[in-house]
Amino acid sequence: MTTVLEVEARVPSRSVTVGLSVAAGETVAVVGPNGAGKSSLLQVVAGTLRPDPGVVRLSGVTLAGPGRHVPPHRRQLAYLQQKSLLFPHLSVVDNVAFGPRSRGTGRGQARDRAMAELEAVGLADLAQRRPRQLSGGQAQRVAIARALAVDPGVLLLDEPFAALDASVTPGLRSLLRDRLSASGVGAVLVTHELLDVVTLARRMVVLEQGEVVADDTVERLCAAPPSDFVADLVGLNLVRGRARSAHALAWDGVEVTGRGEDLSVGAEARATFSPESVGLHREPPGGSPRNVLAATVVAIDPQGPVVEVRLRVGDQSIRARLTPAGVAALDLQAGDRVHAVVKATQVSLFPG
Amino acid sequence: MRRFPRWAWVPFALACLFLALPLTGMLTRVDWIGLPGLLTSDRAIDALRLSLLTCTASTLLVLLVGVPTALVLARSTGWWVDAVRTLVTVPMVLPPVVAGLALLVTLGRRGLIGAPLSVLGIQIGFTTLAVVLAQTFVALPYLVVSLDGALRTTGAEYEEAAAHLGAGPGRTFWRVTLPMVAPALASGTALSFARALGEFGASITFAGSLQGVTRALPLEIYLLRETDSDLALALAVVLVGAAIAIVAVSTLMRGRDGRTP
Amino acid sequence: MKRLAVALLTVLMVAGCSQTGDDADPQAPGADPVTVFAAASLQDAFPEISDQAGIQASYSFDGSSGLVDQISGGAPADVFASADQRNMDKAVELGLIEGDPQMFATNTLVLVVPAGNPGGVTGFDSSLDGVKLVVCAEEVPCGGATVKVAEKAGLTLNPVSEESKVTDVLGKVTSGEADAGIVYATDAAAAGDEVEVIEIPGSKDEPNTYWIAVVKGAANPEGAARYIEAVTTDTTILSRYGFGPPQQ
Repeated sequence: MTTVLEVEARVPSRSVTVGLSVAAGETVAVVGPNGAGKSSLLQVVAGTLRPDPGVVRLSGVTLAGPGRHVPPHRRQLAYLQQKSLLFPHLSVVDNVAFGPRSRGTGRGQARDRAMAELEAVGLADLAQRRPRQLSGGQAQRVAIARALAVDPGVLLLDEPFAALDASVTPGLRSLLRDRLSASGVGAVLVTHELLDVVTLARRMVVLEQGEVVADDTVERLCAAPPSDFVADLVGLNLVRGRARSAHALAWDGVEVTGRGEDLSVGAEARATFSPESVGLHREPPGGSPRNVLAATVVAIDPQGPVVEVRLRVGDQSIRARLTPAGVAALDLQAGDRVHAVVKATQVSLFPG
Repeated sequence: MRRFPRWAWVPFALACLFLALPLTGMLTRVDWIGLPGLLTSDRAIDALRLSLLTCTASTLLVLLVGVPTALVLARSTGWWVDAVRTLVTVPMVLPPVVAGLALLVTLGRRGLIGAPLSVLGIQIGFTTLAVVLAQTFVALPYLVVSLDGALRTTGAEYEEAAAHLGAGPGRTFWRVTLPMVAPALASGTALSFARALGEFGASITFAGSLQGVTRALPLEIYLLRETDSDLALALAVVLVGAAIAIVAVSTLMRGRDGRTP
Repeated sequence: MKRLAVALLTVLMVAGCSQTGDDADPQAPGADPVTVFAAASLQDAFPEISDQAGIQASYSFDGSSGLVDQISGGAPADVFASADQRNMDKAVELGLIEGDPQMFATNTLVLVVPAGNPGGVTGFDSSLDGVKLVVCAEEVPCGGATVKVAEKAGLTLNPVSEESKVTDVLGKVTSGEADAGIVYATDAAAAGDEVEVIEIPGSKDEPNTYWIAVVKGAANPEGAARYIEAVTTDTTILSRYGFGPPQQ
């Protein structure tokens, strides 16, 4: 596949050093904690932030490089943000036609293109409305149409659904996925939502503290989270230690047995398991091949129908998800010492 | 539910009376039947025409200079921005005579700019241009201040969105920035026009007062007060009417501004 | 509008002043201050006259027509001094005056040019044609008098500006904006070295006359009479400020 976007940039003022490439038609998700440099990456590509030094190449054109900085309005890309930022004084169709018009397309042609894009997002009948007459979800759909109407070389997506009502986001996600694959546009998706990642992207780049810490397929990174942040994002517990055997690792005197790739004894290893698979007991239970971990309750956090209990095991943290009745039966309080139990079949082991 | 103590009605009523009585008092003294005749007299027509001409010219100048000024102020940061913002606001609060003196020492025959100009044979004093410049001086702040405020709250994010869609700075300015602040622009323009209409100070120091050349409405009223109070009142009514219309338009525009999402 | 504003102000002033009236020291009735409403051109000469005569006076200086408006609006004046006959006549007509007004000074028009005479004005003649000449508007007393002296001299004036106030004429000459101006001798005297004075032939035949009178209903009629006495008997101070003697 041909590479459409290549970024190799440092932004010393924000302590960011990133490298990224996007292939034609590919959507790359960029995740990471707040302040990790995700927005800086998008701004460097969009041209509102100058790398120093750095190179940005889009469809073979150098947008930024030594002694070169193409201003944002001359970059063949589109930028979709949390806010739809539709121009309030223009009708829906004129908003969508604004990009083509700005890039030199004739009035009639731009309008036809805008109508086609609106048709594609299912809002052709609202073409004459003003943005203030649209719902949040409709406005964001218009913003998608507006972004794709400029035939961008790459589409930058900065948490495009974060400001929307949860009831409309699933529809918008699949709409965006369909539009992306139909138009064959490469995209960079910055998000905090695993659902965005899974729906839209095949590849995921993890940024932490201004650097790329992982860059792999979404499946691989979700199955074996490389960091606590990703494990959190995926909703898994992640613990690290050294391999005791081909199927067990240990840290701080705690041992966890599981399944997965064979480990080489003495090497670093990781284990993941879901919070739902963790049971808590006052007394150590016996029987069956189970892991019993001595743990201390750090916090008890009701989350709707379940209660999340945060625990400390040695020097690492894990979470258990219980029913409120289960928590009540145990009469749990922060500071209590308990036994966390996970079946070995629920634990995945990875080297590294 | 009432959100204020009952006694606030008393100062409220006093304030309304205090402001409304002089205006209504003046209206009761106007010779309404003779008004059309008074307003079509030579002097009245000259003064009205001159005011309309000079205020239109000065308002155009204000727009030409003020809109870019407000844009630069609203979109820049740094210590100098606040300094310039203060500078731009000052003429608003100067008494007319002080504004007149300031213009005299700048544009007068012995002034900073006036002296070299006068060597070249260009004299501003006693010309219609002097009136226009004086009106521009006092009216400019009203446009800049209201537009600067609107531009700052409207935010740069729409301009950035326009840039990402491929619009250069020029197209962004005409197609996005200006339309989005249109209500503030209209109300600022109206206020500037109103302020220009009332300009008085510069004539006392260097513009002079000659019928049809430099004697705009306020000066004519000031002079007529001595002899022909009927005509003075008639012209005053015209000014009050214009002021009410302009302020109403401006308030309406600002109201619309508030409804813009 | 103005009258209404004055009336409002007067109400406030009377309310504020009545207090001091009650507290006035009954031991020294002669020391009651006289309230004098006088034309603005008298603001340097009059306080000197009252000081010399040992009369306590409080002053309100303004244009003569404005003063008539204020007195008819009820402002508490004891003495009214007008810079022209017209406004004194108006005050009499409105019944604001007690007894007969007296003429106490005259003022004549002169031509002033900025120090150095940059316009090269040689006199009240055709040398005024090419220069920036500023005069009073015909509607105000000094303008009316200007028209008369110009007619008398057979001169057509082409002013660049016709001002509402003689002080505005003077200001444009002292600032150098105008090459020449026609003002009263008293104004020229006040401007000192900043202007050069050129006499206007025949202007003494058409002087502006100054009148003084007691206001009807004066709170201090005795003081008012003493004040007028002081103004009319000794003219040395007035002449120092450029005023001419009253006409016989």
